[in-house]
Amino acid sequence: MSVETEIASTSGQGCAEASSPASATPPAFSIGLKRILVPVDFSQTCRKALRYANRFAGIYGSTVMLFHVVDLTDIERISLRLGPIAQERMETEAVKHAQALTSQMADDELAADVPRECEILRGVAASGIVEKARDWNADLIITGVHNERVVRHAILGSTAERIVRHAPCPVFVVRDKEHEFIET
Amino acid sequence: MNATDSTPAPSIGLKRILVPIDFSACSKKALQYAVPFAGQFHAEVVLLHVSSLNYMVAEGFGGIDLPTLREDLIQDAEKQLGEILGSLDSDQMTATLVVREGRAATEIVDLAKTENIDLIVMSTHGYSNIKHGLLGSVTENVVRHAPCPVLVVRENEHEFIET
Repeated sequence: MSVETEIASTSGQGCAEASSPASATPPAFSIGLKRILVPVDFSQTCRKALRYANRFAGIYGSTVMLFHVVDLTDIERISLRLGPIAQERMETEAVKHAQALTSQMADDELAADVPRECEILRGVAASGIVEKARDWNADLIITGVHNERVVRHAILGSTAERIVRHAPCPVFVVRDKEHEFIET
Repeated sequence: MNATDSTPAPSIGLKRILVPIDFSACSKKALQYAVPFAGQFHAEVVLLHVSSLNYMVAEGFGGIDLPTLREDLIQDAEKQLGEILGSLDSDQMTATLVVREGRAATEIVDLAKTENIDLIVMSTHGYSNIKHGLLGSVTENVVRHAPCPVLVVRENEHEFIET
């Protein structure tokens, strides 16, 4: 399956540039955490990842990139019966829907003064995320892994593992059920 | 929020950081990341070495039950952990040295639970030394079963601390 690197940029309030960045702690301990990438799959676990990103951003003045990959394989499978026009329409709808949801998550989970970017990619999740981290010069990826038994899509589990394997930077992994060190 | 606001940065509940060490260069990278966070948040660093002697040789030879050998290995590990600790700037943080025997991933996860660890910092590999793009089995297991967040660092990467 070819990977389209067509990136839809967002509009909408959730991902508008913040008016002024949070006051940053001077890097007394040489922690230069400026760019945090959070892969978004709209699950509760990725909300947790965003909450950690929000806390770090508040402390280090980081920009948070919410990055969602629209996986085309589901759509392709369904639209085999419907034809190319329907497939194109479904993909467009999926991207629009993803943009709205991502924007909403940014609004929900990030403080108003945290600078943020939202991007949607059509393609393959794990490799898309790793590539984005490289291109965007991410300092850190924060991702969730599902550790509960009853999980509808194990996608993030295996995706998280692939991200940890191939990431160009440190990866901070949170999970569904765990002891937290921030309020979530 | 005013950009010139001088209120202190929001504190977070990061009190205990666990760093598993197998004395490989890669695993020491984890410590390089743990130290600045420990300093900034006044967290305690728990250095853990898991000695897996019995698990390495059990297959063909049965468990090694030489008390003196076990003692020597533990003492040696404690000494090396102590040396690592000595090289850190210990004004800003406290550290504890722990040596355990057993299966590495299990011991790491167990200790994280019993010691109320807030964050585990570890490298992708230790001595197993598989290059490029794979994950050491210990790290993979810990990421899956840890009771808290895990920060995974790697040997050659884009860094956000000074190394």
